[in-house]
Amino acid sequence: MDKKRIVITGVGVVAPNGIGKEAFWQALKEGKSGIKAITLFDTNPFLTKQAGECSDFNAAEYLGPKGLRNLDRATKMVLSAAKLALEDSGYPLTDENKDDTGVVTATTLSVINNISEFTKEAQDAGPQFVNPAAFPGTTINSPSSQISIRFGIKAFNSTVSTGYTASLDALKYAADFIGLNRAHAVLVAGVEALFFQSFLGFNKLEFLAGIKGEEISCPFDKRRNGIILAEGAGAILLEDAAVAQKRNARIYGELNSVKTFFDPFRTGKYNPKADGLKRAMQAALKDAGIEPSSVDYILAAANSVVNQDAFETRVIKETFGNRASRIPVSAIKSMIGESISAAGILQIIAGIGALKHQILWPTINYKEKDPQCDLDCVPHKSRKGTVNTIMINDFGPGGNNASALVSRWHNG
Amino acid sequence: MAPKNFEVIKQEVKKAVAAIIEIPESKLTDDIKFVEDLGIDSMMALEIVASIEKKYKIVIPEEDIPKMRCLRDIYNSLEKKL
Amino acid sequence: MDKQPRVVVTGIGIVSSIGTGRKPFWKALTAGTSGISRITAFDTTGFKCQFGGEVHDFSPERFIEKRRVKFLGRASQLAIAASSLAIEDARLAPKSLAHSKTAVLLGTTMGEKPLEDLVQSWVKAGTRDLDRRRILQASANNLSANVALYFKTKGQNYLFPTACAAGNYAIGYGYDLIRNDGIDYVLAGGSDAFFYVAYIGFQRLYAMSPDRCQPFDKNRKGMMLGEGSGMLILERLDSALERGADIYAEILGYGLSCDAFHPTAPDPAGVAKAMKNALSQADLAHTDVDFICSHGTGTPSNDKAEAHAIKSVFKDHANHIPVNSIKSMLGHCMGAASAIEAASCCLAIKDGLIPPTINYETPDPECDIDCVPNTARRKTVNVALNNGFAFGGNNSCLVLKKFKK
Repeated sequence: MDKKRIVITGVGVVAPNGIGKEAFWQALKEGKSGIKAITLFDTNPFLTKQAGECSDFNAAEYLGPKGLRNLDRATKMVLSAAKLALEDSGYPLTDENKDDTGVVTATTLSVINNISEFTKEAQDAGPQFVNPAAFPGTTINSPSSQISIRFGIKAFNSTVSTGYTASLDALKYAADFIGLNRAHAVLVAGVEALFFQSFLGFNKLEFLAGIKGEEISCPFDKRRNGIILAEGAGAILLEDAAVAQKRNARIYGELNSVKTFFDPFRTGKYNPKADGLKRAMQAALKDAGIEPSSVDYILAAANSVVNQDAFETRVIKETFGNRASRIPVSAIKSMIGESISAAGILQIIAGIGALKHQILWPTINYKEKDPQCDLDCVPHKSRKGTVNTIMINDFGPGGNNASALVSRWHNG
Repeated sequence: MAPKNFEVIKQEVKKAVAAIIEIPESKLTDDIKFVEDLGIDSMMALEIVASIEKKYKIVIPEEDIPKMRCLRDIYNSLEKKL
Repeated sequence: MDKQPRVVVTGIGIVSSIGTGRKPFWKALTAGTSGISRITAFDTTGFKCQFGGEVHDFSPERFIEKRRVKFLGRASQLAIAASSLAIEDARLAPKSLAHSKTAVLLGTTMGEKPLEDLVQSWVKAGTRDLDRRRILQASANNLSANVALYFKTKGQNYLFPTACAAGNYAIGYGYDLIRNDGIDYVLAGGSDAFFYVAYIGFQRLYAMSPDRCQPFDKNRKGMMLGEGSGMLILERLDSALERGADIYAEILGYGLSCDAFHPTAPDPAGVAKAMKNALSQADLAHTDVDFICSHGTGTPSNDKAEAHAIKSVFKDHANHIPVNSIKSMLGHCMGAASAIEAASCCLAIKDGLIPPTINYETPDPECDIDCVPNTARRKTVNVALNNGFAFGGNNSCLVLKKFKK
């Protein structure tokens, strides 16, 4: 069975260091960090004060002034990213093709804010007086449904909530559906919003930087001691290549493969062998029919967590052998923080920018070398590079691992 | 119930409902129909009822909700309950 | 031409308010047993509805090593229990799933119970005493991860929070992965625990009946909340035959659609589209269908929309299709609903027996379908459709067929 080729034809991004693709790519180019003191809520109870906050985000700018009242921050962010992606793609959503267009959204944690607000209102006002319009937002499928309603997407509407790998897992799901002819185009979105409860949770779990060390996102650096939590939303339009070509779409790149595997070690802990990540990377290469020697850039999952960065480094070496030291490995979470379910889509969009501009994004805040993370992390400054095939990884403690390959589009 | 002037209550209600429907208060006349004229959907109707119930600590029976077709209906219902 | 493997169901595991395990569940279901009882999970003062489909007699220690139980939220416990039962039912050794060609796919609506406990704790007493263990277990992705962790599976792991249709999404994608990704086994289904937020929410939408669920009845007042888990073992036909497994049914495919209409109100056209897509994916004509396990929540709007959609898709043939709703007995088990319902389709196919829609008293001309009122019915079922429709236009329809070589 001939495998369908799948391409990316539109991108939209709301990131802590830039909103809109041009601003995002420019910020990455300049090594501009989106990590700053949190303004969305009071951080007095906490040791840590910073996050990747999209502080310039104004939903009304993208969505108009009305109809936003009952939408939570995550939904507004992802709707904005979706709008930007659809506009960017030039994909005409008409009555004719609405049934051929689907949406999959990756999100896991943001619902916790809505459940908290709902429960608080029940406590404060009495459960009999809770606002009914607040109920739909307490289920995780709500943002994706809002995307489908706003833009008229009708083939299908799914949500994937696998935490750190959710964006790449959603990407695989979307690609599978295009391959199975269930849609010609699928909007793949990812979002997590910044809110008090998730910040509190990560603090209590001591997973944030700044509790045991410096409050900084410094992937691969010896000082790394935890994530800087971030919010963000991204959306890409994935299309059947034949359909995209027929409408003369601008093709950013080809999605060669996405593979995802579970590693059953222990809840909240990394498997020191990182078998799952290795399996994901190797399977992605195999499925795409791409030799390790053809990969010229890696957008890492590295997020300033001691084990995460070290294990990814080791697996890259195991997968790419001697060549590993010659492959640039950028950790953009040094600039945008760890946005969990949104991370993967933001990395993909960064990858698109790298393909377009033939540029390698920097890993910033890199000062102290760690022998366990001794690859070329493109330290400090972006630089020009030959970028044809990019590997994008995501994983976290708790078992999920995913790897994707995106490359320049070649006809024929 | 505290002897709030009912005119004051009417203004509060008008303000709250206008905010939910997202139209200027000036456009929200007493008799303009929520569904037929302003095109609100079932969720918004429930939200309007819920906000009145919450604010004035009353319960509007489910059967009466479809009868709340305009501001005047809400005023009448409130006047009876307060 | 089609070299993709055929996909069959070889194991069923259920934890429900009317029985735990396939046999007790099916016996109770076909006898028209109601699982609705007075709610004990939380304080129901001030609300019209005092009843729900709680699972009162669930002992996680029966299925899970005691030392692990406290690390698992209720939805995970239910899912692991149902998974254990499904694996046992399939006559598989658990370790035969412990590799990278086993996928674990779960659906849910509300996610993990520890989240609700944490939130309530935070609302009442602030941030001081929040339990670290609960925090670790709070996010919804724990549900699918916990099942995969328990059985040491290494293939794909997905959590679909597509609410009331989630079970179908999980089972359907499992079908896709076996056919297209070289997966050998899929453990797929759904799980939801009784959530106070859902209880309040549905009542605030006036969607809940005070005492019983009466799908398709003229005087139906709404849904009832339920909980539980349904898990299926899916595998390739050749593997099932080779090991002499019992085959319940074959999965022929599934259809999804999206209303793109409203966050809560159903759109009959979208619902119809899901069924049409399902028939098309399964390469079937509408006249091939013998039985529909409806979404049938018992709300005025759902049942009417669904009945209309069925009539529009099946036309005259609709008169020959029994359309039951087991939510009449279990209540709405949220993310577990369509998985438990899929299991009931498998059993209906296997036994030639269709469970009833109980509490049916007065026909509704707007729901002019044969809802198998009150008593189970003997009928040879070759093709069954399993409907699941969720808020926000997450529509799904799974197609199951009697296995023939």
